[in-house]
Amino acid sequence: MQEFLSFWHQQGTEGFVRIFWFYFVFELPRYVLLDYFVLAYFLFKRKFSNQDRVEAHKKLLKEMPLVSIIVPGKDEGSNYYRLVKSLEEQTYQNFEIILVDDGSTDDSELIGRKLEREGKVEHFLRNEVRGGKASAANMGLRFSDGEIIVHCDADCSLKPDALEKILVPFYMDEKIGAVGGNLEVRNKEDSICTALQTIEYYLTISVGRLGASTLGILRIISGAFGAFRKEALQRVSGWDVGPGLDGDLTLKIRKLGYKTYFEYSSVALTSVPTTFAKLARQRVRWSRSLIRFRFRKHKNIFFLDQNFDIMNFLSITENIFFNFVLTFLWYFYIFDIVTSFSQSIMYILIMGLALYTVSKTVEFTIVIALSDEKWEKVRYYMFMPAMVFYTGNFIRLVRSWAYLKELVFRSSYKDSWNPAKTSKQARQLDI
Amino acid sequence: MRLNCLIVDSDKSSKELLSDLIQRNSSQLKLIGSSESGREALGFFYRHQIDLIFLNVELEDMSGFEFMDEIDASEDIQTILYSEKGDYALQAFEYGVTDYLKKPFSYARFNKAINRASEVVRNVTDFEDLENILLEKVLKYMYTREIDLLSPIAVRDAKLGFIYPMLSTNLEFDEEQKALKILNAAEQEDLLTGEFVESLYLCNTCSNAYMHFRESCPFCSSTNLRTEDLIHHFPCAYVGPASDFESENERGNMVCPKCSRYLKHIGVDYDKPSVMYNCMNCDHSFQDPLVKAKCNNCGSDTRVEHLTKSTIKAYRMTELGEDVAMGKQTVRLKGFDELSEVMDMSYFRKILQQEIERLEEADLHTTIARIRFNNLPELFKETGESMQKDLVRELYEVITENIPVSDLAVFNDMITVLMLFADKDTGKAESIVNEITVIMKELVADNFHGFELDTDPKIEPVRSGASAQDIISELTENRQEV
Repeated sequence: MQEFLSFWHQQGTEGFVRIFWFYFVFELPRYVLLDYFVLAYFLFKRKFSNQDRVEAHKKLLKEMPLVSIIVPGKDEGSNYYRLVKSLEEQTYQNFEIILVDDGSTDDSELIGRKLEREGKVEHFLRNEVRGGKASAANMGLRFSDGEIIVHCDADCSLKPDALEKILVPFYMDEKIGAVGGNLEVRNKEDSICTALQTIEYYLTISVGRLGASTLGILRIISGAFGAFRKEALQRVSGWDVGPGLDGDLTLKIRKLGYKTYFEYSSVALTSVPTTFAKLARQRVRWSRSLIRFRFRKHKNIFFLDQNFDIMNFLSITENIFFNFVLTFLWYFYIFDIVTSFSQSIMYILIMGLALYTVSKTVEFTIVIALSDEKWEKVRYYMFMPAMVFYTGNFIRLVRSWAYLKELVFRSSYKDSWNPAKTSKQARQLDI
Repeated sequence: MRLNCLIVDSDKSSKELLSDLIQRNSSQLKLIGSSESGREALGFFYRHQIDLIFLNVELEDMSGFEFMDEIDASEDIQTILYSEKGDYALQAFEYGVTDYLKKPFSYARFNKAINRASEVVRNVTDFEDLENILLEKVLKYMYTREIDLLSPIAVRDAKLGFIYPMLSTNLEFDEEQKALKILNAAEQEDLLTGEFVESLYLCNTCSNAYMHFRESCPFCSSTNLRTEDLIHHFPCAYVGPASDFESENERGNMVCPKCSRYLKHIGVDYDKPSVMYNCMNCDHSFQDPLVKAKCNNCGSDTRVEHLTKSTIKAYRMTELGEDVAMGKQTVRLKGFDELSEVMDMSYFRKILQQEIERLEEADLHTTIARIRFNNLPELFKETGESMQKDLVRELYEVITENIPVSDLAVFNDMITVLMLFADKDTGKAESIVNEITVIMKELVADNFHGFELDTDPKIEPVRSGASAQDIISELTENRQEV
């Protein structure tokens, strides 16, 4: 203990910053300072745009557009009932539900057909052979009649006012083409793994996307719960072969000049993986899409031609820098620390843990500040030390692995998440 | 057909009153004779063909019941029993009388009694005139022509698509299905043994075998549907009907409307994962049409799931059958009017009357309940007559299984059931009725794709001094208000 204190005393502020340069150069400005700045900006904006919201809300209720809720999925039959139930309880009722069963092998067909017969869903569409999530979503889009399309995962359930809230932004600004809903974890209590994801969702989705949206660089409308103008979806011809098709779709819509918006108050609950192994598989899939879509498919975002859009450029650059570049730069940082301070590595680890815990706590305070249910969330402070390992190590390792594999082997084309037939075609055409 | 009547009554004025009533109903009744003593009446009875006896319980030389013992009152004879005192209802029923009247009775009440009698006689005679005679003919035909196996013959014009020699030719087109009923009943009576030949779906309403089977829109029932393959283009994940891929400029080539690539080869760059139906009437798109069968005889349109399967068999004669053919035995088929027990109002009325009288003597609680199934006609629309009967019978069984043995239930009509709870107050009756309602709802929901039975129960205490008929009509007549 004595030695620990004297070591840090000896280092002084300058040494402290030198050792944790990675934090002070990248992470502190991005995840703490920027977030607080954005929060302040958001609150400021909200105060003055409140009247706009009220007007938009009035306009929505006056026009009452038909909303088509598309729910593609495979083997999701067991979730249908809960989803339909949560939709029946919505405050906004002018919608049609379109369930798309992508070659399920379980009882989905029976359950879906029953719901269709009972008139609880408008369409239950089923393909005997699996075509992949994009094709299922496109099928739903093809047979939808709504002006607004909501894409929703079958394992989601919406809070009663979620649908009404997610529609409001479309009436605030005609240029808004897509609105993302806020996602919270339903199975918060299942395991330490889901508790950590709960915090992560609060930080990266609730706060992170709110920030991105406020800055105008929101680059993903989550597939789990997002709303689109049908016109925008039709202009981009719907979804392309995944993985990560929601990010790809959002980018395509942005490229057409539409704005994207994140609606903090429209909340859907989703189930997350309960074990770290399952979580790792999910995240590998998500991370690959960064390479496949940002680097390959949408590389023209970096071209300085007449289509160049500074916001799209910033949006993607931010994404690539903080997710991709920093992931690998971090190894360099570790190398730097290990070689320069090999004697006192233990002191640095302990201090690092303390520093990051404090930093995470400060970050999480924004979540609490924004929340209506502050007291329920306070207890998550106790998970902050664990969060340091979760985002700092676990997520980073999973990402590195996914990026490397995708860069070298293009493994997303072999992922069984898509049927082989579509991956093969996509691979041949390099899309 | 008029019924031959006999009056047996020691009271002269009463006898005259009855003969007067019979004259007034001369279209239905024919008075053959009347008698003031039991002995005399017996002699008369054996010398004449009598269909209906009006019998006073209180005779001078014997009781009405003794009289019935003497004539061994068989099913063929209808008896309308009446008395001054009116406490013989249960006993009268045990003798299987057609009706029991308590004097004084109204003309309307009398009419009801004779209507019952003529109805029963009509059933019995129809039975003898048709089913049994036909069966006898068939058996004789098989015996004399030495036909081992009576096989159905496929005939395009026949209602069932098959005819049985001798049998079907004697039936009108509208009742050709009776051939199956007769043969089935004969098999149950061990006159014939059947071997499976074919199974058929017959129209639920008219038993016609010729039906069109076709898909219809689940929303508007129109059969004007268009089907189209869906195409999934792998490279861009576009999914849409084949017509989306038709190109205007180049015939024969399919072009993806999303990515403008030509479709090359099915299974390589695209496939057809399913079929869409589009209703030309209401423009709804769906994948799961209702398959319905439309009868080309009566026009009823039924979901195939609701059709019932019939079996066509070939028949061999049993030894018992040969005996009948040779005249050693007579044919007597039963069980054609299967709902008589379920809808036996007269018995119910009698017991109710008894209860009312019991109430006058002792301080008891008896409750009568009615449940009406308001939306049962909706189900009946879908199903045929035989299934309607099956359903009513099944409901009846559920009720009788779930009420205490001392209590009674009867269907007043196809959608209304009456229950009599002896020695039970309304509270107890209500809990039993609720229990039964739950079970019946489950039964209907299980059998008819979640159909929600709408039940309308009404529970009332039985008051002493009222007449059974009044109570029943009061409970059942309310239906007009709904």
